[in-house]
Amino acid sequence: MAKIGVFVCWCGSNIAETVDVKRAAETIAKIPGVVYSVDYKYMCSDPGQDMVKNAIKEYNLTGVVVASCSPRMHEKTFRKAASEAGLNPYMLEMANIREHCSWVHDNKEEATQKAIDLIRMMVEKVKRNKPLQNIKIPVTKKALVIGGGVTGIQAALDIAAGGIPVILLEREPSIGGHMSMLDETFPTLDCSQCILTPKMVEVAQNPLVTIMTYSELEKLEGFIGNFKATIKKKARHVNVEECTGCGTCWTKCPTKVTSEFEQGLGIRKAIYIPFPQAIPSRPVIDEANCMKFTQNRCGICAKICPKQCISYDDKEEFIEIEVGSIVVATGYDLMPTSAFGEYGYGKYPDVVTSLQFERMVCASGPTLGDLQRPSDKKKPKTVVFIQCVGSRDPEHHKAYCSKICCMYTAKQTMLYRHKVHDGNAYVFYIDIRSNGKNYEEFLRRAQEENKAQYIRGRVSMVYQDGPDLVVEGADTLTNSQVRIRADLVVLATAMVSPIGVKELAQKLGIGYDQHGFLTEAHPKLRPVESATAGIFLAGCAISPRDIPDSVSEASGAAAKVLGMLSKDELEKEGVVAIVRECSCTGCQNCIRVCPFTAIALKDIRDKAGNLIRQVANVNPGLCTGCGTCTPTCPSRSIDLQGFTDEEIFAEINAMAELH
Amino acid sequence: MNYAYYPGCSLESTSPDFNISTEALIEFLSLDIPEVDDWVCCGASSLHPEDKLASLALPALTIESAEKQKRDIMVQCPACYAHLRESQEALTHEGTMQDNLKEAIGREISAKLKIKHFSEILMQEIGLEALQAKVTKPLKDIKIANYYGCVIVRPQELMQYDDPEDPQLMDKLVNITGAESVSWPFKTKCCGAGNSISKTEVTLDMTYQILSMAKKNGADAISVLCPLCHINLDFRQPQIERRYKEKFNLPVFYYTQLLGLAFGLDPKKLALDRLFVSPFPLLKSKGILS
Repeated sequence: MAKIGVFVCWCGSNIAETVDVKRAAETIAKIPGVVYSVDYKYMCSDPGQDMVKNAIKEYNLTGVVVASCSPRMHEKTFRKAASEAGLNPYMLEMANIREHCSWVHDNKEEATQKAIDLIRMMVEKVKRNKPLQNIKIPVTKKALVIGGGVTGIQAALDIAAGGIPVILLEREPSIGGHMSMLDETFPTLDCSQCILTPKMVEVAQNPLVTIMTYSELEKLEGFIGNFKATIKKKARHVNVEECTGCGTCWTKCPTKVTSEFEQGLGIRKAIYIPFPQAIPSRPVIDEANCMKFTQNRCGICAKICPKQCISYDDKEEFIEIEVGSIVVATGYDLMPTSAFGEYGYGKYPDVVTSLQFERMVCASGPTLGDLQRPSDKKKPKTVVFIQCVGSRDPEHHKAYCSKICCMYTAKQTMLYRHKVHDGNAYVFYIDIRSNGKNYEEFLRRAQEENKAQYIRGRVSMVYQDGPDLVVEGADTLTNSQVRIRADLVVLATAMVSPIGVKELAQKLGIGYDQHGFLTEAHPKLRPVESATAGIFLAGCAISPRDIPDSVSEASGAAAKVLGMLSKDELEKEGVVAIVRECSCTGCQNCIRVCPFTAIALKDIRDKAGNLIRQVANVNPGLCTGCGTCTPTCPSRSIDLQGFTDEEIFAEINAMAELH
Repeated sequence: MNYAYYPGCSLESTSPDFNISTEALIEFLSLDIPEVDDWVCCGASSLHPEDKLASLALPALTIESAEKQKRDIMVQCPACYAHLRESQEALTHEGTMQDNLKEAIGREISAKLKIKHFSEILMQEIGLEALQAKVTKPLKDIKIANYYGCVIVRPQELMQYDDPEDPQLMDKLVNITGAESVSWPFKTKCCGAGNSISKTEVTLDMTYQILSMAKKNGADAISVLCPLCHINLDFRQPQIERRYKEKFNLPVFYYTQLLGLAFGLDPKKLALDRLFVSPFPLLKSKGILS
């Protein structure tokens, strides 16, 4: 026989002002099975919790209903209290008479009646609740970081600092990401390579970090604490162990290819390292361009290599690794500029992207930092920077702000003026967003000391007029049209999610938005977690960010990984789906709808080992208790513990009986 | 190919040269393109900012008329083209505007016909090769700046004509005449349009730039496909020359006139004598007309 205790909270005046809490407690006391019903001013306070604990012991309660705020607020608090008093925590339910009642009503009589109904429903549910146990999951104490840019590097370093082995996965031939392409960084103008390269070396030398470049995630199975990842190692055709990075091969390679790292402004060879500080400093052969692969001739690199490291027969390899946790730091791409016909990108060689500009001024760039415009190698005397190219343009491109363009454009005007002291830098902007530490001061320096001329308005077109480019736009502050003759135009194109990230997210079972940016579990309170337990996010994979934010998030994600992997076992709530195998027909409806791929078929065999039939089987480690599966089952063989059909119908009946 | 021709008011009033040369081409190519029966104004310029519903309902009537003829619509004026397309969009997409149109007109119009610009029909349904074969008088040594104007290409989703920044369709048509289309940046820059009347100086400045850029890129003449662009570039040209003290002397052809010339049609049949900037000195100097 159920013995239920009910505790009605006033929440100060939050509830008591609108709900007659005394009457509610008295009415509820009359329900069969309720042996104790009381009201109190602050149920969540220590004395309030003590009331619950004492009543459980004194009346030997089998179930408790706390009628107060939302379970999101205090369910954990009261379940812990119940547990301390010896009651299974899942035998305590909350009736939300604050958010669902007192806060949204003003008629006291009606609100009181509604509160009584809500409590009565939970009393009927808790009568049918079954004790549940939390689920314990073993943990593989190893982490995987996907993406070897500055974010991934930082995450790997921080995880390793906590003593956990890490695999750092990068699809390009070297780690370093976009940051390695930058010249100097805002707001301090420290050289990007100078601050990044030591970190790259540090991560490469860390005995706990294994770097896998030219590799991608092929498949992911398992669940929090117990992931099994299949990594595809693309064929490098170079024996990384034996190679010393001497450079003979790429010096002698006759095939010149446009360099991705130099943003199309420089060349590399068909066997190459992307940039001098690359890690590992071991080359790869680009099969699409190498003559050995395209025409089956040449073969110079293999002949010339002093250590015989070249093997044209290398095939891609698949490696299985087990990890407990994953950080996704896949970064960004710039929007393809072919979309901007009005700015003549692709048509006029002197219209470049901001990343190209970085390479043009960078000391390690194709011109070794001597700023020349692409068409005729002339030093540009007037440069027009156009911000928000593709960003904040919901009609044609992306509605969002790419966040970093205002600052890097200010920086680029400075870099430009440092190279061309009497040069003119114009910036077309919509608004200037300089909301970071020392950012506004930096921007002012660009405007005041470096004489960058800011024009508020958009550019309508860029066209070639003889050797010059002409930029036409609006100055919306003076309400006039402007026409500037320029030698070079730099487009601050929108940051977009990188190619392949949606496929990766699908493999990982994590969410992404319409732009392909990965979705946080909560945008404010769980910003570095994905909705899938054990998978964390950092940096531009989530949305456009600058370096400080990306690095902070990397550390945040690493802290989350370390927190998780510090335990030998993980515990999660017992609210998971369960299958009644005797009636399951194996129709797979539940398998198809499960958003977390937590359900799979299980073989039922007889004693001789013959397969009799297959039934659904829930992996409690993966199941989040969302309940999507239960209504799809035609034989009602799958149920969600803690929210069983019986419990839910009891709630509905309790309400239906009254009305 | 089964089209009916919708000339619209401009081609019947201010730009008869466009109309005449179009009909000359239709006749020369033996195309079966009668006029749309009982066509009405497309609602251009004045109506669409004032009364959206009426501006869509008017072209809907023309669409209905063509539907009754069981023909698709062929159009020359870009403004007519835009309004017909917009009306078709509203008629064929479920929504408040569709309901309002039905109520205003008193019946349903399916609007499931093709609406095409004549240049698209020439390009896509007759084809460059077939047209090339008919050229008897190649327009040798003439460089043409093809000027599309802003309306025919924008908004791209609605018009689906060509690239809004660097369209090629008219260039390709003009190239088959033997003339050379120049590559220039102002193909779709605004000509000032209706400001020609209300803020003449604004239009004069804009057209001045277009003429200058055409000249700078080596054009001997300009080819257009919009009656309003034509007025601003051709009719206003002497005024621009006086204002900016610069001689352009750039004849402004309709693309239909250039095609007609190459096909060997009589200049009179192409209404070349109606152009304000006379094309005859140029055509004579290049030996195309004697």
